[in-house]
Amino acid sequence: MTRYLLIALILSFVSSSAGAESVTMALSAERVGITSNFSGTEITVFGSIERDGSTVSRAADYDVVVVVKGPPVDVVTRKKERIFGVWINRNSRTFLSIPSFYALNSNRPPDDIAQSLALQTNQIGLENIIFPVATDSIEAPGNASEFAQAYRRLKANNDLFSMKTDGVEFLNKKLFKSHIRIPPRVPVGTYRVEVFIFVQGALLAHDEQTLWVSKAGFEQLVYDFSREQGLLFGAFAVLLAIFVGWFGGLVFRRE
Amino acid sequence: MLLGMGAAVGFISGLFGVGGGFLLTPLLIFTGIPPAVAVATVTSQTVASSTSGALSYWRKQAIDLKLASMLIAGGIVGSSLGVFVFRLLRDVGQLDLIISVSYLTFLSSIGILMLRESIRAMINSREGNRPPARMPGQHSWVLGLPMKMKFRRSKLYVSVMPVLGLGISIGFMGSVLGIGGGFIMVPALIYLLRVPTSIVIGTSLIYILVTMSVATVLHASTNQTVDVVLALCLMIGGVFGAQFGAQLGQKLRGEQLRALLGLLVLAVGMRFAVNLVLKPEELYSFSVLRLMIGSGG
Repeated sequence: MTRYLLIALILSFVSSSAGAESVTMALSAERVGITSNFSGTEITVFGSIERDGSTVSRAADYDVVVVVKGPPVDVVTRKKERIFGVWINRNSRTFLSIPSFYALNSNRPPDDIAQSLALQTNQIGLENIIFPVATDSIEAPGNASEFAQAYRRLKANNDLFSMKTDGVEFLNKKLFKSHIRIPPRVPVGTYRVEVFIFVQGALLAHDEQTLWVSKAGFEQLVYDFSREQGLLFGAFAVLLAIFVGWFGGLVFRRE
Repeated sequence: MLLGMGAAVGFISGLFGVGGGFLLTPLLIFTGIPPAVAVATVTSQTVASSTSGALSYWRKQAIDLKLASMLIAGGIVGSSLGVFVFRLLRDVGQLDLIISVSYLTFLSSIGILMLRESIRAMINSREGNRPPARMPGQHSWVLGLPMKMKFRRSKLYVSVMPVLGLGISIGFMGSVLGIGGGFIMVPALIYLLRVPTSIVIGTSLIYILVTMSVATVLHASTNQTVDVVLALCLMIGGVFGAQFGAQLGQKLRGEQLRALLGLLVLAVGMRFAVNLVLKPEELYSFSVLRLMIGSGG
């Protein structure tokens, strides 16, 4: 009897230390439609941190990190070098399955929130995004980090990679919200929105949701058509061209 | 903005009586549109700008259909080859470079030729000389090659080899660089094959229309770089601009016009040179090989 009680006690202790906190999240929109006059939009992430009754209240405040990752891409990054006075693409590095979009919002700089190991394993922060190099490529081996750095910089120039270390706002101690900017020219596809809750450097809870970014209306039609039916799309472009040319000739012949 | 650009180039093409692709493509590239998209899109625009011209020559029956079909046969081969090479260059990341270098050599040599010729003509007309008459009846060796064929409409009996060769090479250039090639085709037909001037323009327009149509379909299906919205803007702008350009063009004198065009072409060529030689602000670039739309990051 005492043995069962002991086990029950241990079990309750384990569960309370591992799953005391949980986070519930909601997005202001689960779909972003890119129309022809799309100039960017904003998605609000709401979150509520919950504690079961048995948890002791904590002295330290919660830290929140929200990460939005775009659909993964295989990318080749090239570097120009001067050869006989002309700038030519020379070395390159191919990366597999890296995010096409990355936005991080947190209530304070991630380096203050947790140790670098915890940030690295969860790919929190632009520097902690993993860049797997394609091994079967013919590219010369060597340092890939300058190419990864260049990719980050090029993406950041278009607001497609960003970090906002004051981007999470607490409504009260357990309720927070965060505005994620979706800039124009975002890649389409399935996005992942992740929320991490830390206290004093320890990851307490994690949740994620899917966000769909797709072209909408006429844009969607044209885009899908051009990707899936290239031949027909080309024929359509030709017919359109012939029509415009013919019509233009007709209009001006009258004058 | 794009409508304006189409109109400006259409204006120039109407003014000088050229297709305009060789100016429109560079212009698009300079405004930051990726060369691959610029080339493929202008290819479709070229179809629009050659249609109305081709139609009016068709009505006047100023076209040698047999000659045109031989040129087109070559053109289809050439442009298929061109689109294939285009794809290859894009995959190894050297497409932009090849486009720039080709435009540079090509525009500067043509610009210089035009300038020299027009300045000579201006000097001649000032001194009251008549331009030296071309020697008639002098046949080039290329026409004597085997596989002779009769082109009744053009009153020609020449080897098909130079005809096919011309079709192939201009089709190739057209699909790689996004130019119709009328401004090479016309002089080549006149001076090389000695096709009567009255038939040359219509025949060359039909050739451009068909070859560039094929190139557009191929670009769309293999490279997916035809931007139809951009193309439509350029087409509409081009069609309207060309009309006003043609009206003004009739008021200006030929030599001055050609000197002006020569300068313009040379300037665009030089711009490519500057871009190649100057240290770029950003040494790195990336291109997406595969976008995994379905699976979340």
